[in-house]
Amino acid sequence: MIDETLLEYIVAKGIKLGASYAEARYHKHKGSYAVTKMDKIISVGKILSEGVAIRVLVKGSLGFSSTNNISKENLEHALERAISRAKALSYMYVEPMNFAGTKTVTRSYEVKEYKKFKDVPINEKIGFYKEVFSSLRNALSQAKLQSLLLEYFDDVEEKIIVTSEGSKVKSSIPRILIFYNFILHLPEKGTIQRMYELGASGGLELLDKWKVSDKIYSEAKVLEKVLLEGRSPPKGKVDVVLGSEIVGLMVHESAGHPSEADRILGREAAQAGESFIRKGMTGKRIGSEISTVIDDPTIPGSYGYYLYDDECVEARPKYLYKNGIINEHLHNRWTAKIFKTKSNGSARAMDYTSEPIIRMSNTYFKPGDYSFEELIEDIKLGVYIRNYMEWNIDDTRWSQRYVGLESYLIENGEIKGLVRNPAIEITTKGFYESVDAADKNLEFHAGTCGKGEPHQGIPVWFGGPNVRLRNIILGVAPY
Amino acid sequence: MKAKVKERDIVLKIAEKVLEEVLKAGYSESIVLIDKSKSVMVKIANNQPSVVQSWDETIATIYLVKNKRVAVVSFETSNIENIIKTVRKMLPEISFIEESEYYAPLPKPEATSVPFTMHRSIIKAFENPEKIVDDIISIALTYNVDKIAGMFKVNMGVRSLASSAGVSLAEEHGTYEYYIRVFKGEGSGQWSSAGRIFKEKNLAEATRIASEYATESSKLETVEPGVYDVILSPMVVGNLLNVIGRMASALNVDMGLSIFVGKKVNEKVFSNKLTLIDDPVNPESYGATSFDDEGLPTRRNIIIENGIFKTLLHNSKTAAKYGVKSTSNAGLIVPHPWSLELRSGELTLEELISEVKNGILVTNNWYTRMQNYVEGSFSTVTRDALFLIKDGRIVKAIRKLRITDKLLRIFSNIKEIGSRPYQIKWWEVETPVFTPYILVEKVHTTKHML
Repeated sequence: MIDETLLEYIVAKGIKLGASYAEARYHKHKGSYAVTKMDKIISVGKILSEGVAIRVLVKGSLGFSSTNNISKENLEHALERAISRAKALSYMYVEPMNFAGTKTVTRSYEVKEYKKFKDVPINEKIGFYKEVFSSLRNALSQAKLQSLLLEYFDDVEEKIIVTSEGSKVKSSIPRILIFYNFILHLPEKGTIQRMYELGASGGLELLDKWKVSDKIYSEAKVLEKVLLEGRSPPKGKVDVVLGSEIVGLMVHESAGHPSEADRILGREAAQAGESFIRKGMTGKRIGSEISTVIDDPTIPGSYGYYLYDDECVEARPKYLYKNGIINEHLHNRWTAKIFKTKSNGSARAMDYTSEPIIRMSNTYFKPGDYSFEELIEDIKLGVYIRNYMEWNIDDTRWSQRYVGLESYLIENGEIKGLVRNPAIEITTKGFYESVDAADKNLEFHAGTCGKGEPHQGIPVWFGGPNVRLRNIILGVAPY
Repeated sequence: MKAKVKERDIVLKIAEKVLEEVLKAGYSESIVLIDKSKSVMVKIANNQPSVVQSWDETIATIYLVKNKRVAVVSFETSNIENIIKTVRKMLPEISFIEESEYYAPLPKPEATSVPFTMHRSIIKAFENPEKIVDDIISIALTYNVDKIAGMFKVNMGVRSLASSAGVSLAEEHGTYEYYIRVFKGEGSGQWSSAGRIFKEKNLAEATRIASEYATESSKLETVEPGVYDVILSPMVVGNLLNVIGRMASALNVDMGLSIFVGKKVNEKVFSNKLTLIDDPVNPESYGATSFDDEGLPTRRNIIIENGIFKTLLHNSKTAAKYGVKSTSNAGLIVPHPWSLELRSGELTLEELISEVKNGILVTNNWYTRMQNYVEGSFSTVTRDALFLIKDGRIVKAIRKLRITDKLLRIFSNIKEIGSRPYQIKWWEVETPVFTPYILVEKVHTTKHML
């Protein structure tokens, strides 16, 4: 931990040295991990990352400086570097930067670990890996298990953020992430591969809830059947039901990312790209009445949970698309100023080496009131794509592709057998306009979202119900 | 010069001190890696800086063994006492886990290569990135473009290693990285430059290429997706070879994350035009280093020679499992490439274009994702300038398509390789790659259907 008064001293000194705004963030991650392959441990370990990030606005130029030597003298040097570098570049700003006003806050919050990470040795935390391996083996009748990789990570993220405007926010958020990848092989049918992540905020009690072995057992059983029995998807226009996992990813990619106001303004143009959404497009229609996408950091227990962002702005749910209309973007204080609004608390930084930038948290498609049976009952010919492997989207977030893994044929309102590698390649508008119904089954999935330079990976959930799309032409991967 | 030597000695002494404490704590073997560095990065967007970032950090990574049980602890902190405390606390935990399948005794010291030093051009660039950025923006705007975005970064520091097998090494590192994306009308172009030696003319060239691609693609037409002969620019080849490079790691093969699963040494895997090398001793490379994370002297390794698979990339652990010698690609756990190189051919870009009857020149891509790592089925999205080629000539700039194919097919269908290599390293190319343009026959492309 750090003496908080040192952070206060730094931001006050930043103002004295000519900054119009200064912010100091102490940011620490402490955790452990394990990697297993089949029924063997490859390695275990711990991580500790602890440092301070300083951000200043000087004559409309933004400076950032980070160090993991947190002595007073070194923090002063870091501050001076941020200020002098920003000052030296300020003459190049055609449009000087400024921040929208926000409430001054002093808050402290934490997520509880009911079973604390530090009380349990690593061998107990990952005690389930042998069970996962044997249940996966037991699930298979003909296919061979070619590979199983299982990774476990726990982490407690602690922050103290102080701004020159008098805000101070302290937080402590524990999280767990489990990643797995397995490959099934049948000589005459090839291979099928599944990757998935389970993640949430909380303590080791989450492992009891997740029942990883059971989940992998049922997935392996179905995927073996896909290998054995999977047929080509039907040709021509069909109705398609997309499962929560794929819908979650789609809204993350095609509603969340294009709604990042910094991307809309071109700040990420050389990296993750720009957005098909341009300034002034709020109020324009993007999809059907059913299409509502929400980003909400305040969902208790979520992987993307936070109550105040890294600019000390209070978090709240944002309706990015509301009943098919582009409704609200994700803002930090800089973009809020340009859009003449207030920040909605979307600035996040990965660690002490990272500047806060606009990020998603937990992004999901709003569930409807159908049951799954009602969703498929009037489909004469269609496909239900439950999950995926390959996906990507172009750099304006318009043209995207998802390739199904566990996918079913729908005939006359019933699930009839499995299909292999159906590919949906669709524009953002094409997707949201084609959705005509959503069921009640809201599920969330964990991911690590990448953005920024240097690259920042931050924890998010994405989710949604099963949704129905009308009149879609499917491709078949890989061609 | 004296001051630099001192910094190297100081960082090595810290590594040796930590190693001493680790062994005192009761571990049987250990490697302590300490990297102390400082960096500066200026990001550019809309023809002006968007932020200037500076870092000053110490990173310690420690490999720990107790009775063939293996742990790796990673620290981003300057607090050495905290590091030692955590390592001590780890000992009872590591004792409870089972032996690692990948345990192998640490390699003994070998005759070391001459360590790299920091090139003076890097030190100079670090002192004044503001002027360099100002110059870049001015150069780009002379091409009459709408706007530019990009990044310029300089990093310098010292990396040290002390191991219980008796290795004690330290080396300076200093690199620059630059990429620029230029927009004009409907079009855009992107290019990168990186390396161990900073040259202003390399930045100017990258800026020119990105600007020319932007202006030449300012008006776009739509073409139907299908099967085309495709010229892939070094930006695209760099991205795909990063995938191949990761797949060449022996551990990734064991994990099932590779098209090399089941492939045997001397088996033909790709076109005989393709020779892929990992070369960390290239003094121009962004990835240049004289020793790997186990303290073995690095060397030039041919992964694929004339289409024939020659070796996976190994550290001493995977090497022991495979019954071969380490290729000096440690990675404490996962072996990885340092600096990839695709051997150049003989044709200029113009000559490559003249070889194409019905094809596409792809200048950049992003978001490469696999449906199946073993089978290598993937897709990647083109971005920036894309040109239709008919009967040996570029006829028009076209809208984005997706390359949707198999890695083995792509690299087996290489028809020609260009003569001029570029060093590429940017957001989508993590490991630096020296590569020319390549011409690939019969590549599948797709596009959204709604």
